[in-house]
Amino acid sequence: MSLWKIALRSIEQRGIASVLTILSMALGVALVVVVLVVHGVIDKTFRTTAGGYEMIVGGKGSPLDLVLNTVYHLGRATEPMSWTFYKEFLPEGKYGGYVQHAIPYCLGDNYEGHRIVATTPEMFTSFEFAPGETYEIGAGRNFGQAAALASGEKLPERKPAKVLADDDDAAAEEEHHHHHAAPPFVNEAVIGALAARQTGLKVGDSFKPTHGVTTSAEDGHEHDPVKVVGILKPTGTPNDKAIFMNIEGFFLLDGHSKSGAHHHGPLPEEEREVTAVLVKTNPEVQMAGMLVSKNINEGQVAMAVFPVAEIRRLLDTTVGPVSTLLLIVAGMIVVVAGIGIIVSIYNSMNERRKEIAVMRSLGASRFSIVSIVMMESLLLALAGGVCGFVLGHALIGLSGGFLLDKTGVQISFLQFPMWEIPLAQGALLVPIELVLLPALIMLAGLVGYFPAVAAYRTDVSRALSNAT
Amino acid sequence: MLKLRDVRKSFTLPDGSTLPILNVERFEVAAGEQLVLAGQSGSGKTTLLHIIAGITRPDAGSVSFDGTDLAKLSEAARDRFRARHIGYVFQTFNLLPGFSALENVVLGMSFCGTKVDESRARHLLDRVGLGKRLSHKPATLSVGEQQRVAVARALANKPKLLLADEPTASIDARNQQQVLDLIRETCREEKVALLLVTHAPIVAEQFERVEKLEELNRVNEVAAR
Repeated sequence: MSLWKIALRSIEQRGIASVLTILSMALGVALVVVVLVVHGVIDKTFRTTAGGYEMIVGGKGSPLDLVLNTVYHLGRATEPMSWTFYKEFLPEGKYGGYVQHAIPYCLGDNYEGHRIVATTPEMFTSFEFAPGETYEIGAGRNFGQAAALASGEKLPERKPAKVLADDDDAAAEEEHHHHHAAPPFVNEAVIGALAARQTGLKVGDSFKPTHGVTTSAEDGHEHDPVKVVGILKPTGTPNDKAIFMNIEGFFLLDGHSKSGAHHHGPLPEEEREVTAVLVKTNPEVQMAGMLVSKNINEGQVAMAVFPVAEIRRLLDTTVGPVSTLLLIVAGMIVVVAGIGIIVSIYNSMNERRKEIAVMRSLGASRFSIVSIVMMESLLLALAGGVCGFVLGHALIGLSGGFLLDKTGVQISFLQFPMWEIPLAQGALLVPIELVLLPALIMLAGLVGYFPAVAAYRTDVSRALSNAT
Repeated sequence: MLKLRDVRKSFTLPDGSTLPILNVERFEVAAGEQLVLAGQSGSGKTTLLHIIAGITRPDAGSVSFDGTDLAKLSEAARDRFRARHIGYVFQTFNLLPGFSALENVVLGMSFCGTKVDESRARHLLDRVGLGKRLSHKPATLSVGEQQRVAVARALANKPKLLLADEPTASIDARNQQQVLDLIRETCREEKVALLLVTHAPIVAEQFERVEKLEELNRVNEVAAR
């Protein structure tokens, strides 16, 4: 019979005490797993997702709010900017030469809690959701001009994107009149993979957006229907839970005018506002990003932020320390559970002295006895570790919905963030929880030491004399 | 096979004084022999058994077992020697409660450094009449059955000597004789010498050789001088 089996039997024999000890260890380990995995996933997702956006321009306010709101669909919408300002980023605008792509980004509606982002089709053709990762439409097609073309409608000639302030009255009137022409755009939406799954919307379905970025918005009136024309393939980013619609369609919906006035047909430019502008700078212009952002930030109208920098600051100054604190607390729970193992084994030492003496009389050496006690400690710690690992991932799975709502990060039961261990050639990727394994083994060795010493010192002759 | 010469043992009391327990000038057991060591409670019987088993080292003297002096071996060596050559049966059986009857016997084979022979464990339990109760835990066995398991466990490693410390004292009268007969028969079959400690005359009188510890132990004589 192996020493392991003897240790296992000893644990079985003290069933309730062993189960309670394993349970307390499992709780501690589960908390460590939750903190490690959630922090790992959030950290990675936030950094990766932010990397898909080079620069965001929005109304003056908190740069972090702008990033969270635009990239992660979190928090309240920031102050909007005028359409005129957006046009500064078009080729003929003030920043045109510095910009490769610039698209408007409007918030204001939701459907069953999923934020509706109004933008242009370039969102999915000219931008990436993470560095090097382009959007793919899994079903249907992109929205926007393509729809009008497909239906055989003639697209109106859009006025050259000049700065409105430069226009004379006649031009403005013409622009105004032009917008009152028959709307060339229908209300179309491309929805994120998760939004499609959660709402049940399919290509060809129509839905009525509700005014307000959240379901709890006070002014929650329903808009005219919007047709789903495409569903994005999963990106693993918060955009999976968003609904995107063509911005012209968005401006056709009631309640989206700056003054709040009701308009028939397309919204005049002076009544249009955008929440943000997603900007990709011109790679051929050196320091384009720095120059544009400096210029914008010195002005009074808007601010330009670099999401990667903002998120790094958030993670390094707030999320990181909080996670470290939680990790310390969870670690302390594991240590307390480890002390529980000492107490459990130590308390049983009185009744075990007889068993130890019997085993010694059968020829077991002191080393064998010490090994059995240490193995018992290790088995309790590892059983607690395995239970804690499963429990931790179960908690992660159960809290997935909550995390998605609060952070925009999707996390599932079988999520294993990897830890990159640099090697001489390449790197080794190991699940981050594996760091717990050597820690648990060390803890088991440490807590097993004290009862093992007591077992080592057992006076066999006296214990046998008492037993017989 | 077993030869004790001038074995002395004393214990240190809490006040620091020394209490002599044993002073055995000469004691021998031949291979395959069966004998009784009789003595009153507190006369040092169990201490002598512990010395013979190598559990306790004597203060002086030699304990020669087939030419090996146990008194000169290290503790680890004595443990190994005991595991291979000496079986031990206790008054209160001392089966491990978490283990089945079979596992208790197998446990007896686990510390001698050789491969566990489970078939022998089954055979021994069958021999002591428990072939159909292999998976029973001690708590579900009668006291007589528990002592049979203890006998099987003590014989598991084919020892040369079986030490039995009051093996029938905790058993009812009806089972006492059965257990005693079983121990003697199995020792005979296995060619194992038996040194049985008892203070019960009814047990002692069944053996050809009975050694009284009071006569072997000269500790009181020495003290009186």
